[in-house]
Amino acid sequence: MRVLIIEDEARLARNIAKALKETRSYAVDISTDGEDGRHQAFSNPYDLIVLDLMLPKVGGLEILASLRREGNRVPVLILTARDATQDIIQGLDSGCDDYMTKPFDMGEFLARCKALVRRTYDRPDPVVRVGELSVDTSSRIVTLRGRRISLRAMEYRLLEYLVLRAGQIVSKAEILEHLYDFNAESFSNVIEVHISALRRRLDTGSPHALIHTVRGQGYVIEETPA
Amino acid sequence: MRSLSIKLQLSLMVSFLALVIVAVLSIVAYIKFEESLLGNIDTTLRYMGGAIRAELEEKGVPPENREAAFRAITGHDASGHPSQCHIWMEGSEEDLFTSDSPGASLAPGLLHPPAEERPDVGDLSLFNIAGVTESRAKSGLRALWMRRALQGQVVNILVARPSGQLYYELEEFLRLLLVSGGSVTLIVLLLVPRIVSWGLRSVTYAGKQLGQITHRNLAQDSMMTGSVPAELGPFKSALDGMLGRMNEAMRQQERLTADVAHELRTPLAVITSTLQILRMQPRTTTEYEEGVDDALQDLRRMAQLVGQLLTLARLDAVDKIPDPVEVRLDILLESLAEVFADRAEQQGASVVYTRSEAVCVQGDEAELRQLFTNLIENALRYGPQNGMVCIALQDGPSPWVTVCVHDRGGAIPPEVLPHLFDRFYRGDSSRSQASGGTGLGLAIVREIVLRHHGDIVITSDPHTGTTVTVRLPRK
Repeated sequence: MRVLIIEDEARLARNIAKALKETRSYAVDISTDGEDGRHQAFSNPYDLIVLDLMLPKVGGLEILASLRREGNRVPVLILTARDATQDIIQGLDSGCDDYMTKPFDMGEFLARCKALVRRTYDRPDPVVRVGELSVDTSSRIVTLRGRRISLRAMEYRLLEYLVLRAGQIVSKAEILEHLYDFNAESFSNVIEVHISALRRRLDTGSPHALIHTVRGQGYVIEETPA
Repeated sequence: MRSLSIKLQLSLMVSFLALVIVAVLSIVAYIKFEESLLGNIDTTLRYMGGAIRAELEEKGVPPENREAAFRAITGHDASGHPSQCHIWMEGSEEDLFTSDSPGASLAPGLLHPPAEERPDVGDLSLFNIAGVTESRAKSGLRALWMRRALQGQVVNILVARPSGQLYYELEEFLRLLLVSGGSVTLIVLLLVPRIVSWGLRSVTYAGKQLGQITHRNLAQDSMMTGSVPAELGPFKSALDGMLGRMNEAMRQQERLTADVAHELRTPLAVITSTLQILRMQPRTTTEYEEGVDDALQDLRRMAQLVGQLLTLARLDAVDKIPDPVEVRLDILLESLAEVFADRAEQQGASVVYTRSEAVCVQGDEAELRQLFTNLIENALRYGPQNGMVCIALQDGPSPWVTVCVHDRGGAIPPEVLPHLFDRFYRGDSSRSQASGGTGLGLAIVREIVLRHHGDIVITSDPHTGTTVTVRLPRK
């Protein structure tokens, strides 16, 4: 999952990014002014945008409005020190999905981010099941046929993204875009390495592989018909 | 003290006026009526007197005929009230004629007329003779006394008619006047309050509307909607103006409160998030140290902000400097320059103060120190890295003392210049603390300059840099 934080208070942005990376293993980009933030929001497919309202150059509401005008439906969480009811109403009217006022509780913030991302993939239930595999996106516990499987952070992120889009072919490019931020060194064979690692961990004697390669297009996770 | 209501005042005034008018009219009417009634009697008396004189002047008339003529003249007139008559020659004890009769004896006033009423010869006088019965006026007489020269002698002719009827009539008239005047006054008393209420209805309405003003609906264009009487026009526009100013002040206060909330919430959010992240999972000592340092730094920033807010609140609360003293501006600036030179050196910048002769201003030393501290801090903050801040003090132009703080910082856009002294203004909608300022420094500067009756100007040019010029009245 890839998140964009547009927040001019640099330390706060770094803190949020750190929390999202550590607890959710999200890829996070930070932008500290409105102009750059808008540019990034339009150029990358984010799964969530955390938006401050009072930004240098371009205001948060303006960014939100231009995103929605272009038909971009990325979930947007407004994080601002403005707490007047009319500000909240204005934000919700402009098409934000959630609104939090500073100072906020980090735990609540993370929970709301999680819920927003889940909603993007149309899965209100935090537990996603594909055949005998079950991924709890809330506690990040993966079980296969009732047995708990431990995964590395990157492997989990990859698996979570695949199961959220279960049944769909996910291209390498999409995986790169959603799982890595700008700071990550991304090579296309990195994906292949993680995929094969993931396959090994999920291959516990079942005759049916879960992750399939679609030649020339990408990967798909689905229950193979027996 | 609460004054009487307009309604009551107007009612009392109008009623009093009505009462006075009615009373004056009644008195005038009464007097005129009395005069006209007396005038009737007097005309009759004059006629009778004239006729008697003519009769006396006629010669060779036998006394019986003459007496009969006198009786004819005075005895029976149209109203049926008998007149009385007394005619005598002066110096003679004998009366020429009296209308004395057993039925109506001659009134004492006619037998011995009061000497003060005696007219000159050839003239006549008219006077009243009081009655003898209880109601003296009603049984009184109106008399005419005439003295004429006749054949070398003076003849006195005295005729009188009862005037009682006149007073009956006057009394009736007075009663009528009292009744009608009283009812007019009563009607006025009853009607005026209603008329006044009706006339004042727009005031009552305005009062009701004013009663509905709260701090929430101050923004309305006009409180008194609908037409107002011309007299209330200036009142209404003054009131609208006042409400407008109050509204502006209110909005300003609201903006400031919102800004303060924002400025305090942001560092709070940063500190909270820093500390919460530290607690999310076990950290290394270095991570803990960094987190605590970050939190401390943000707390310092908050403390600075709170300090500046309190400074501004204090400056706002008291318009005047509590006890102004003479301040040696040259010494103050020199000490500040020394303090900042050390600090600037650590950042590779420098602060240069151009010495000046002794210059004094009247004011508060701590406030002036704050003023120039803020200006030098700004110059160091917004000036270029390794830049130079120049402080110059000049005694003049009269009657001013001028202080310039100059840095070679980038140009401030002209559209921003007028807003630099606004609280929390930072050039764009962001409240970024990247620069480390609180957005209150220049607001405080301006307040202090105004309190010292000075002025402040900021000029900015991409080539020469930014100069802040403060002028203070020289002591």
